[in-house]
Amino acid sequence: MKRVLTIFIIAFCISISCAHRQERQALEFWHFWTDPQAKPVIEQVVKVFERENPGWKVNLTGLTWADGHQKIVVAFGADKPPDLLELGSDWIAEFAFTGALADLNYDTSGMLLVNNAVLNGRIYGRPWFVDSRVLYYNLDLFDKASVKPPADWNELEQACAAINGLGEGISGFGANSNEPHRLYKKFLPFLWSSGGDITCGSDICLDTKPMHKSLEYYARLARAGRIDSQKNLEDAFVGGKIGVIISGGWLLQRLVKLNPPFEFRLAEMIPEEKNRIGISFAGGEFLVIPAKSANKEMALKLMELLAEKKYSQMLCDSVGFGFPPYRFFAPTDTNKMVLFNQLQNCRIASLHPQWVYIEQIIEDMVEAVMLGEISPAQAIAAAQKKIAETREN
Amino acid sequence: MTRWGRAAAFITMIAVMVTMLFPLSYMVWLSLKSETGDALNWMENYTAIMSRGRLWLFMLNSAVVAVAVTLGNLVFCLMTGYALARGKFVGSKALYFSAAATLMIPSHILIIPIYMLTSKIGLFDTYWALILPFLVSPLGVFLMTQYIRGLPDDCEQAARIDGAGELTILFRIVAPLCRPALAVLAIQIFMTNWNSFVFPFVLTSSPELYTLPVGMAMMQGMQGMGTPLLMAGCTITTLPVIAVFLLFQRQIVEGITAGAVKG
Amino acid sequence: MKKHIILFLIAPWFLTLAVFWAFPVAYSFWLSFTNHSVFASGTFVGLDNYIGLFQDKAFLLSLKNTAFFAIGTIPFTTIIALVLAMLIAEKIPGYRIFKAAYFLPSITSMVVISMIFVSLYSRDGYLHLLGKALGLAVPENGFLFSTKTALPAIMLMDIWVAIGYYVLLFLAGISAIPPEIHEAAAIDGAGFWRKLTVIILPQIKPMFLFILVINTIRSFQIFIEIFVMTRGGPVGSTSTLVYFVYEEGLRRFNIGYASAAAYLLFVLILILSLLQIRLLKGRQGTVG
Repeated sequence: MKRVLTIFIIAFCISISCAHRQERQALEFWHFWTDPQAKPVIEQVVKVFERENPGWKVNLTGLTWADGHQKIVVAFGADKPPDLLELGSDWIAEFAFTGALADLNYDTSGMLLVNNAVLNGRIYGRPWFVDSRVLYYNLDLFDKASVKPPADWNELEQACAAINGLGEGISGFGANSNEPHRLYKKFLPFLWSSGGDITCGSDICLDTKPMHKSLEYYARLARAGRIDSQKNLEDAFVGGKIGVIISGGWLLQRLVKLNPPFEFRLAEMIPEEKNRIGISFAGGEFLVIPAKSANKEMALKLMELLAEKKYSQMLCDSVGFGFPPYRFFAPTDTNKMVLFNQLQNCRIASLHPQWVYIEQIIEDMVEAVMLGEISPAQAIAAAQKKIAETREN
Repeated sequence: MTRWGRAAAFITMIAVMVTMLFPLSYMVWLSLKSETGDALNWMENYTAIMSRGRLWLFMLNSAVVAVAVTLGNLVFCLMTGYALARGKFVGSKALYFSAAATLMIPSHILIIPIYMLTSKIGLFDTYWALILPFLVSPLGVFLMTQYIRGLPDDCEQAARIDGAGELTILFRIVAPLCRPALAVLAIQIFMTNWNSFVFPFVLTSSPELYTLPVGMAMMQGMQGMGTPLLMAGCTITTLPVIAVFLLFQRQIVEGITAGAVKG
Repeated sequence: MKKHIILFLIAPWFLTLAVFWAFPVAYSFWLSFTNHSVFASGTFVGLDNYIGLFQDKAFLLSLKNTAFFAIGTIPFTTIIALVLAMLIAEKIPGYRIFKAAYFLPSITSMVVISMIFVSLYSRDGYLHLLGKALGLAVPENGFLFSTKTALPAIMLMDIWVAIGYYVLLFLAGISAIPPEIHEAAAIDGAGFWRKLTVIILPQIKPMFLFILVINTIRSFQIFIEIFVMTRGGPVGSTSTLVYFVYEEGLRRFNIGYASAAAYLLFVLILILSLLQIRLLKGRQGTVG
């Protein structure tokens, strides 16, 4: 009898807790932090949020960079977006232009990269986690080739050529190929650092003087080194076989952990001419709220909490790189400082609704020139034509 | 063959064997290397990839999917094979040839319609999407029908006269006789599904559902993931199939040739 | 057997056939005539997609690459596998070990194999270093980073992977040849070449054709290698038909357009298979 009673009581409690759970309203949050190290941080913030807002629970869905974009497109297409969503910095325009994102009115002062979420005076996202791309030098190879770390494009090219001439499987510069979403992040900084851009008003204009110049320059750099996938390039750099590559904070973390038998240094992007500034690519994660969300107010609350400096910092610590998106932050490590300083001079690709298509056209263009398939002028003309066709469809 | 001919053949075959085994040994060797140079660091890469890459989870998914699909095939292909081999009904021939015909359909062209179908009926990104479409394989239907056709039916008739139901006959009498064919089928289906990439890749998007091959392909693009680490993951992916292969070589060879020879 | 029992027994296969084979084939046929995308369920556009495909440089390039891949791998795979199978059939000492070793790549995940070869083909990879040591004109950045060598490199890997599987099939065909014929050949003192052309080839003709058919079906569907190794690059030089379908359909969501490409691929494979099956016809029963 006792046992029956116990079971009854347990069953009763379970049914009550179930009923209680059903009463709580759910907030859907899609994020990309599926790394085993980072996920607990997200879950911790969510717990804090649920404690502060009884009656609400957050449903987490983890996306991956490989096909997360796909899933988001499908969700917006089916009118079933989540309440809060993490987006890569170069996707905001695509969704904002179709009216899929809500206008967030918040105080943006002191925030890094926030301009990348502002379109026509409206704020569509909140920076959450930022990282820049900088140059990594293998100083031992610089010494061996008797060259100094460069200060302008000419010196960079000469340094790479000298290191490349060392032989023994040593390369000067590392250029990217055969991977989507990589090459443009490495190429556009050169365009920007020579005063150019790919946008003119709301259009994409490739046939510009800086573009011709930087495309030719990048192809020359690639010839003073090797063309490979980012993974192979980083492997080769870690193995001491490459003089200069471009990478983000994760490589610094890996290098510090592995402690390779050579001296390395990080440096900000090199400008075309001395005493100008080198501009790099900003990798950023933004939080956005879909316009169709029924719980915008709560989503905004969760967003504020997630983007608090304390939690953003925890996220960076968990993966070992990246910065909270605030200006007043100052790392002590000199190499980390380079990454942080570069953030002050960083751009994202372009605020263009069809960026995912344009990105590939630009990458194909650079790749073809780099491999010597066609001349820069031909490649630029072909790419511009392709972009015009894309817009028509 | 002359003695010299045999010697030449032997040398050729050794050379081919070295070529065949080299890349796999290279994988294992690389997985033991440290990232900065040639020093060996034994288990370090393995423990790193296990914790960082959540390989346990992917392995579990692979196992769940492969085992579920294999069990389904054992039961359902046996059922269908029995009906097609023993039952006489309108369309039995057509159904049998449909199995042969589907073997001729290039399955990759079905990526898009099956993707659309699973998203429409809410199966997209669930275990079901990885299991349901593969529960009854045409190869299995084909194999079991052929095998049961080749069995004498005296026992079945005797049991029928004794008043046994068809399902009793199938699972009590026919199934034990089919054991060799079922073993061949099970191993074949298990290996195919353990290694399968295209459909698991297209039909899921949560990393919680990744199978080993999908997980490995995704990890390739992860930031800061070095080749030695990836090779450790690849070795872990490959070891179970090699073990199965060494244990069940005969059945595997039979499974591969059965479809061809009997077709 | 009673009707309801038969129905019960065949239901799983019938449902699978209807839902996961027949329906998708019919559904993608319909989709290929619409401008279906993820945002809109699409309207009927007639032959627009098909016409568009033949004006699409990317599609034509992937068609060309696929054909090149098939033509450049199938003969080598088949011939090498046949020769190896004949050698194994001679029961030279250690033949069981050889057979197992040759088959090992076939049971390994294609993703894993592709990753290994990415490393082998890279600039610091052993195959690249070997080519250099032999004085070959190897591309400077490794085999996968040149429009001229990327596709041939993947084809070479494909031949390596596939051989073991076809060795087994050929072996099954050869071992099914009645022993009298082998003995007669041995008494005649037939050499390797004579034995191949006069005895083995005619006897295993059905198996030979079967191998051609399945090899063709497989070669026209190459995808994993491309996805893992090159993503269709550099500059589209390794984009195959299935990779094109994936890019258009599942990355850009031009579902109708991608379906049309998939259907063209289907018809192409069907025609090739039917051609080969016609040759196979009337030969059933000689093997097995």
